Amino acid sequence: MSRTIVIDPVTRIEGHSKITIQLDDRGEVVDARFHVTQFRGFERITQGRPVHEMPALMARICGICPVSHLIASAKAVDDILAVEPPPTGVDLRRIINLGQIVQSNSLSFFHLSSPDLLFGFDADPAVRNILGVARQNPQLAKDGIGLRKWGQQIIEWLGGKRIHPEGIVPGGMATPLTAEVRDRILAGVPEAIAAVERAIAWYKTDMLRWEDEAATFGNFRSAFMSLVDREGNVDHYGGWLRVIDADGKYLADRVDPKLFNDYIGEAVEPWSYLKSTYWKAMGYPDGIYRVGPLARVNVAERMGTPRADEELEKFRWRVGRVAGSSFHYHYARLIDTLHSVEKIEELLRGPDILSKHVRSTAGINRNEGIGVSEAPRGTLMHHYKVDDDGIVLWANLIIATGHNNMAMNRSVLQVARRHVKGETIAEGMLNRVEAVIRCYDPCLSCSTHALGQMALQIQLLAPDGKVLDELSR
Amino acid sequence: MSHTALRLDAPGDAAGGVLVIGYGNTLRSDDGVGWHAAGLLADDPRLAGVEIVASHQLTPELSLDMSRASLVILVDASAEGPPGAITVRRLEGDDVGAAGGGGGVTSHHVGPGVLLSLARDLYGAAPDAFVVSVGTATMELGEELSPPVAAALPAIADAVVGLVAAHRRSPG
Repeated sequence: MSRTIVIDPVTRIEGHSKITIQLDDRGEVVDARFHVTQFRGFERITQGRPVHEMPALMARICGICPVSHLIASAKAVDDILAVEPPPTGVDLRRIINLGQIVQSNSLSFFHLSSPDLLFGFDADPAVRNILGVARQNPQLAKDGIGLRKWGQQIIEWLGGKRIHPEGIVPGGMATPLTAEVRDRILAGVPEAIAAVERAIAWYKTDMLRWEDEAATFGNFRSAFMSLVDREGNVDHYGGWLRVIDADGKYLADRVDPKLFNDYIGEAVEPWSYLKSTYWKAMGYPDGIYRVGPLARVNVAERMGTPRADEELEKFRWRVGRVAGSSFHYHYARLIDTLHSVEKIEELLRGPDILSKHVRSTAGINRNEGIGVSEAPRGTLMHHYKVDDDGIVLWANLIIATGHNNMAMNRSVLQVARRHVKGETIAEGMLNRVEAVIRCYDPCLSCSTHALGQMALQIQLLAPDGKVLDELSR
Repeated sequence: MSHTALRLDAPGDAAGGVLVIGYGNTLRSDDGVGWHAAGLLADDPRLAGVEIVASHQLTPELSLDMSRASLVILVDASAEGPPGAITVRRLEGDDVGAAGGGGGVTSHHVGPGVLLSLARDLYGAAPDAFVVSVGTATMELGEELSPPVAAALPAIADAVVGLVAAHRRSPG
C-alpha cells in the first residue's frame, strides 16, 4: 500500500503551503509536491481600479518586496501611457529597486537561511533560528540587520514616508533626489560593503562543509532566465531577457521583455494555486527554468561592478560556469547583494542624479501594458489591460515564485529521495525539505500573520486520506 | 508641533522616546487594523513627539529601533476575542513562543517577542513593551475594516495614549 507524508506548512517561507511526499509499497519516494494552498486574489481586486492607482496598490501585495511590485507596475503603466521616464527618473527607480534587493536578499540569507548554515540541518530548531544566530554569531546577525536597515532607508527616502508610497509613479518619480539624501545614502555604502563581504568570507570558509548537501539540494539540469543589459551584465531594472540551458548555451537572447507571452507559458495544476510557468519551446513540464539570484549569476556574463565581479569569478571557479545546485542560491544571493550596493553607489555618483527632470506625463495612449523587472527572487512581470478611460479590465502577474515552481517541486523530490526511507520521519529530513524550498526564498505573500504562529505539522496519509501518523512541533 | 512623524516600514531613531508600530496587511480587511490605527495615531495631538510606524509586517531591523526606545507599543490584529475587543499585555523578552509573541521560525515574519529578544541580545536594550491586540471579524481580501473593528479605532488610540501617559508619569 502506498502512503503519503504531508509536511504542512513549511516554516520560514512567506505565505501558506505544504509538502506531500508519496511513498510506494517499499517505502521509497515516488513523487513529491510543493502545494500552495493560499489563494492569491490580487489580480481580481485590481479590476475596475484607475490604472494610475496600480503601482501603489500593487505595493501592498507584499510586506517584503513592495518596491518590486511598484517598479514592475509603474513600468506597465508607463507602457499604457506610452511614455519614457527621464533618464534620472529611471536611475532613481534603479536605486530604489536595488535597495529592495539588498534588504530582501539580506532577510533571506542572514535571518532565514543562516541558522541552517551556522548550526547544521540536524540542529534543534529551538536553537536553529534567528535568536540562535544572534547568540552564536552576533556580528552575522547585526550585519543582516544593518543591511536591511540601509536598504529600507533607501526605500523610505526615495519612496516616500507616508502610508501609501508616492515616490514611484507612472512616468518616473514623484520628486527629484536632494543632495542631502544622496549623501546620507552614500555614507552607508562602506559599511554595507563591509557587511556583505564579511558574510561572503564566512560563507566561503564554511562552504566545504556543505558540498555533500549541495550535490542533492535541487541539483539538476534546467534552463535559467534573467534580464541582462546590452553588454550582458546583470540588469535588475530593464534590458533584455536572456535564457540559457544547463550548459550555458543561449536558448534566447535580446528578447524584448514585453514579448514574454510569446516565450513563456503558464500551467495550472489542481493541487496548487501557484501557477507554473514554462519555456514554451520545450513544452510543459520539460520547459523548466529557474529565476532569481542563481539565475542572474548564471545568465549574465558579468555582474558589472568590480567587487561583485571578483566574487563571481571565484564563484565560477568553485561551482562551475553554470551552477546547477539550488544550494548555491545562498552564495549567489550574497554576490547579488554586493553588486547591488556597488551599483547604488555608482548611480548616486552619476553627474545627473540630482536633475529635476524625473517624470514624464501623458494620458492613456494604449489599452495594454507590460512591465518587467528583476525582483529579489527573480523576474517579475505585470501585464494590464485597460479601457479608454484607464480603468483596469484585466491584470496578470507572473511572480518569481511561479517561475520557480517546477524547480521547487523537482528539488523537493530530489531531497526527499535521499532522506526519506521507510516510515521514519527524521527531523533532519524535514529540515532539508524545508531548507531546499527556502533556497528559492518563495514569497506567497498573502498570509494573514495575525493567525499566529503556524505549527509544523507532518501527516502520514493512506491513499484514502486516512491519517496513519502525525507529527508536529 | 502636534503632528508626529509617520514613517513607512523603516523607522529611524526613537532616541529614548516612545515607538509605536502598527502592522498588518491592508488588503486583508481587519488584518490591517494595526496599520489603520497607526494612521490615526499619527494625527493624534496627545502623542506629540511619539514615533509612529505603519508596517505590513514585523521584520528584524525593527529590533534596532526598539533598542533605542524606552517604550515600544505594537498594535496588531488578533484572531482571538470578539471583533473590536482590545487586549493589552506586557511583552517580555523571553516571550518568543507565546501566541502573538512568537512566529520567529515562521515565514518572513518575526514576532514581537523575537524582536524584543534581539534588541536585548544584540544591542543590550530592554525597553518596556506592550502589545495591543484587536479582535477581528474577517481577514478575507478587502480594503475596508469590518464595522466593529472600525468602531474600535478611537478606543485603540485611547489605549495607546494611556500606555504612553503612564510611561511618562513613571519615574526614571
